[in-house]
Amino acid sequence: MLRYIGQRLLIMLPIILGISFIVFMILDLTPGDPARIILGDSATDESVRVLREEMGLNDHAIIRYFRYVKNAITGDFGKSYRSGLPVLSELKARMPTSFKLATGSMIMIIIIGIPVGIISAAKQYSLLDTLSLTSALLLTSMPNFWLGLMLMLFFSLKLDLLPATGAYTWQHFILPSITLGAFGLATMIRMTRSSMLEVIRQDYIRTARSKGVGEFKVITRHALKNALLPIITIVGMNFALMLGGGMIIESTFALPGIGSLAIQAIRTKDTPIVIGAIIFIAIAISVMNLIVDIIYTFVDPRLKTIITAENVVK
Amino acid sequence: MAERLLEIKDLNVVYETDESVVHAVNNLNLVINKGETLGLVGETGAGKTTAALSIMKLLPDKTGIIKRGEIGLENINITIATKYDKRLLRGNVISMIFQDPMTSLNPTLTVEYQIAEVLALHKKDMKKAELSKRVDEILEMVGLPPSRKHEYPHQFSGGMKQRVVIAIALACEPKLLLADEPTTALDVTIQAQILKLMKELKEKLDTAMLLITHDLGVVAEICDKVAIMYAGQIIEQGMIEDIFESKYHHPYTEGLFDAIPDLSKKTKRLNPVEGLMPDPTDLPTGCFFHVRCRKCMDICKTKEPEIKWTNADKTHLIKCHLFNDNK
Repeated sequence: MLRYIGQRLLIMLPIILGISFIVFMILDLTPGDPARIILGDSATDESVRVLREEMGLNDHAIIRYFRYVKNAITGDFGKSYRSGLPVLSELKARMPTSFKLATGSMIMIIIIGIPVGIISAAKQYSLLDTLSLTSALLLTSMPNFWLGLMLMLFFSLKLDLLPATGAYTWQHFILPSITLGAFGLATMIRMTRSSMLEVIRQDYIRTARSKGVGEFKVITRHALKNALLPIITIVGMNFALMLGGGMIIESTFALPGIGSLAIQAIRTKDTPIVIGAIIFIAIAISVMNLIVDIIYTFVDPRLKTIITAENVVK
Repeated sequence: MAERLLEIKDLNVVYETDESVVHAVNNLNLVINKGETLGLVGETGAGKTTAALSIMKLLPDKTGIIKRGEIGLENINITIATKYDKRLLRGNVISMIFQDPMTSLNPTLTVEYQIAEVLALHKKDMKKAELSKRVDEILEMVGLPPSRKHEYPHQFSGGMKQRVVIAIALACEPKLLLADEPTTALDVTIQAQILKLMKELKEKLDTAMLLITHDLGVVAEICDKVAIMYAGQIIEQGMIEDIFESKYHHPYTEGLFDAIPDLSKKTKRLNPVEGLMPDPTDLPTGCFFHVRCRKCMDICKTKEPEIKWTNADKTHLIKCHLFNDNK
């Protein structure tokens, strides 16, 4: 098992290198001179030229990329053009907020999405099923910034129940978590439902019924575990995406997370921050994928055999 | 006379969908006595499995409906049993073995759990240690090493899986075992082993068995009685000797026997029963078999034949105009 994890971590390296290369090159192609951005419009051409020389901006992009990678390995991802602070410390300062937001959404998706999906499948074509499918459709079709604004309008301004912006207490995370998780919740309901429906039709469910197992236990004990694989995938992918992907939501609710940092950086052409944020998201997704695969082996004994067998062969 | 265990009277089962009504079982009558093995033989689509599922009350929700008839288990009509009652019956008094052992076991639960579950459900007074001990005994009974009980189904071969399925079905020593083509998915050597095992166990536990199959060889090996089913009806029924030795047969049964290739004779071609099972959404008038029957008469096309006993002991019955007096 450890060996498998080690292999997977090693495979992550080229993936992250590739992503950083692509992002680095694309950002390099966009117009705008970093030295000018750092010094401001009022700076003289001479001082801009000196700074360019200092930063090595006159070198070829490939050379600059390798320099970037070399520094990155030692933990130096460059400095923000705007604040002058190291990228890593900027990201670190924003991480807890993003993490709390993503966790909040994830909890909502799991607590609501999985049970609703299960009920929907167990009572296929019933009123409950129609209701949950309709709400899932509704949640998918609502743009999330609009949903965020509506929630703010209703819960903060009208009812004055929850704070609208900022990230001070856990209450501040309720509305953004709901907004961010809305789409994932809809996906979760539908995925749980279809996965459960597929499992319920399997022969071993009929076997369970023929043993006299009650319907509740058939669903929870016999069907759910088999239906769990695609559900875990969705949870993992959503979590990783939400860690860095809450750009619009973080901006809407004025939350200082990775997403809003990235948006701000893109707007101001703060290249080191943009690359740093994207690498962070890439790492988050890769790590989540690995965690998901490890969880798989606990859910499905067949996969565990495959992974252990693989290690025996190698 | 032996004690009656299961008595099915005039059972009619349909599958209703928006487009059509499938008449899967039509006026089925069957009796199984205690400890007896009845072979239910017929082509694919004859309604054999549907009949078994009706006994288990496992017909698909909403679409599968028992229209008419009674299923009596020890003289209690179980067609009207409540949800809770039927759960008490399943696995305890009646249990079922399904066709494909590869898919009948839950891949995410250990073999021990799957066997212990049925015991825990029906033998409520058993403690954990007793359950575990009983699982060992049952595994040994079906010829599997108890040391492998913590393993998952995918770690077993097909024949071993079917042994596990049998272990689950017989764990509570049911009075009636419904075996739906238990050996069809297995290769011939394993088939023989499994059949032998089933025969031994049913004798040991004194369980009656309804064996669904389309293999007359299997029937000859382990059945006491045989019922031949066609388009949801029993068209011939008798003791094993009646079916295999009597000279009176329904033309369909004759067709089935003719279809078995004989090693001692030189045959160029196989000799099937020509044609297909009638469309169950639109059954023919008269005798359901008349379209394919080689001995079809005019009366067969319009009038449904009556059931006639061919012998004085009333063990062998045939549903065919050839044996009706009014032909």
